[in-house]
Amino acid sequence: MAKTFPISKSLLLLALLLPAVFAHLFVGYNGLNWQSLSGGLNPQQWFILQELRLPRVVMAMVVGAGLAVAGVALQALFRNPLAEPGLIGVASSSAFGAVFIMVLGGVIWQQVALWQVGVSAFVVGLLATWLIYRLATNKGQTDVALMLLAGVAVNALMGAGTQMLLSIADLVELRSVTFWLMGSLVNLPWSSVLLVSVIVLLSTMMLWRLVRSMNAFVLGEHSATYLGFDNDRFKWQVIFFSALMVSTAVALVGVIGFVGLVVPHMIRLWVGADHRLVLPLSALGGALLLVLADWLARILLYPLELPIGLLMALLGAPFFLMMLLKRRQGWQ
Amino acid sequence: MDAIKCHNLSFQQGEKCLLSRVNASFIAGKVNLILGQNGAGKSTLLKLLAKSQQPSSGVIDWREQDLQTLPLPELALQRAVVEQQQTMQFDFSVRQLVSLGLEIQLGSELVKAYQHVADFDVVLNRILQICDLGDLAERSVLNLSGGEFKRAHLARALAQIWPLQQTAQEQPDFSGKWLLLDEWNAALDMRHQQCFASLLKTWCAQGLGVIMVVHDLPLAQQLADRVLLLKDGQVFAEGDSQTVLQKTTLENGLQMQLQIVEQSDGKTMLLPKF
Repeated sequence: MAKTFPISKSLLLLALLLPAVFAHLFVGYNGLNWQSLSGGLNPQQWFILQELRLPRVVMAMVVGAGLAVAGVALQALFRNPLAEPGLIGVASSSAFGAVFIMVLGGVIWQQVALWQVGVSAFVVGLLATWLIYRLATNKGQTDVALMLLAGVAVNALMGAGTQMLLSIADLVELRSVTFWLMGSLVNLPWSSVLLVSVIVLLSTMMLWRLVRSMNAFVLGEHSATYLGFDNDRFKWQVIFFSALMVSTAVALVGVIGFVGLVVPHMIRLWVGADHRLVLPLSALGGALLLVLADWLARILLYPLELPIGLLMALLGAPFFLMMLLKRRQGWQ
Repeated sequence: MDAIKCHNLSFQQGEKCLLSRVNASFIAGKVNLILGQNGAGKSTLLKLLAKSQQPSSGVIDWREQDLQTLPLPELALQRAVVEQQQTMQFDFSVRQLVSLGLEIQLGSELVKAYQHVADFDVVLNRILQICDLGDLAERSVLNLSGGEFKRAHLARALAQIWPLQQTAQEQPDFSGKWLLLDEWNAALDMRHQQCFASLLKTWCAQGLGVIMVVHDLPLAQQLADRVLLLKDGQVFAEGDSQTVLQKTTLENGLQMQLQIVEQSDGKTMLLPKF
């Protein structure tokens, strides 16, 4: 059963993505919406489309894909479908790294550049991933309870650190940082979108090369060795590229949780656990989910807008509880 | 000669010396048994032989090549391993699990991961049938009993070293292939123990080298060609099964009481005295 690439399933997800993108761009707005398309767009409307709405929807797709792929890779690394960048503390660590430079970097350099925020988020996120992996893994097996508890501890620590930094920050910084922390895809320039796109594309390709290692690795570390795979290289590549995608996303759009949990789970229910199918389909599924979620975040309380991170937490947390309940039957 | 030899093999974990100066050889086409009490170093030795851990000192001569210099992907084509305990949290089907083993033989490039090989399903189905997994093939490994799960892993290991060159009718030629098993029979029911034992014997006749750790004395006596008896991380006895599987040797090596039971065919069997 050497699998062929899931072409028809990918096309199906793409086919669903198109109307979602259309809705995201044109449905639920006053002013420029789908009705104004028939009459042709004036220059001002073109500007709104090109500089405000298109970057946002592309960002939603790219970040969604990146977070879902990072989820798939981390789940393989931890040999557990409950591993998720948010739950195990990668996202909150990256957020702490970012806030650290935003608040304290201003003191040192006057003006903090985006790349400094990104690098800081990445370094802390990388360290946290490595630390949690070391904590949760013993003799080649991962302890789920330890993994989740380590995640709780890291989340608490990093959350406290972030709050502490915010409490010493001055008022102007505070408002922007708080808003960004809740996750927002609004008002991002094309340059940011391009940066995240390149990083997500690169990391996804690198992780895609490892799909067979992932299949072997979930059998256990020793088993993967017996099947001929190089575990050390696999581990650092997964940690590096997952942390890279998650921290870049966090640095630019804040913490958006549960994408990496919900999407791979749904895809597995659909096509089974084979990572050759789960990884590429999760990338598409993640893009679809975040475009839809961001659209909902915009229209649900229109004209008010929910932060996308908040909406994903509202959707994702019950989903996580449901998964836990289902697994409880397995543990008994 | 096709054999695996250990020279002065030691393994230290922290302060504890789990194996010290082990000299032993395992011969192809034979069932090579490793016996010993709990903590005697059996599983440790198996892990060193399987190259999932490195010896603290000493050399393993793997078919006339230093195991240290043999790359893992190459080694994976020569030997498969079934561990004592295995856990799984992902919803693979039995068929997918077994095909993970068979895919190892297809090469490691990503492109090949998506290619369809004509004979693949034929071979896979044959292995599933042999391991009596035909009816379970589409079941999720998460819903299997302990014994069924073990059988799926045995099939996965078998698929990894299954000779692909033969046509379906021929007896497979296993020469150059090795199977390392750590208590493979513990979870299996009697029927499947019997079934696998006779399969192993058949494949050994086709050249397969088997190294297995077992605790079951009746099984050991009926299956073993050669025995390595470990005690406290050292070799207590090594040799043909007739020479090692003697009452006093085993009683001293395993520190237990044995009784000699005469079988209906006149042969004797050593059984634990309870």
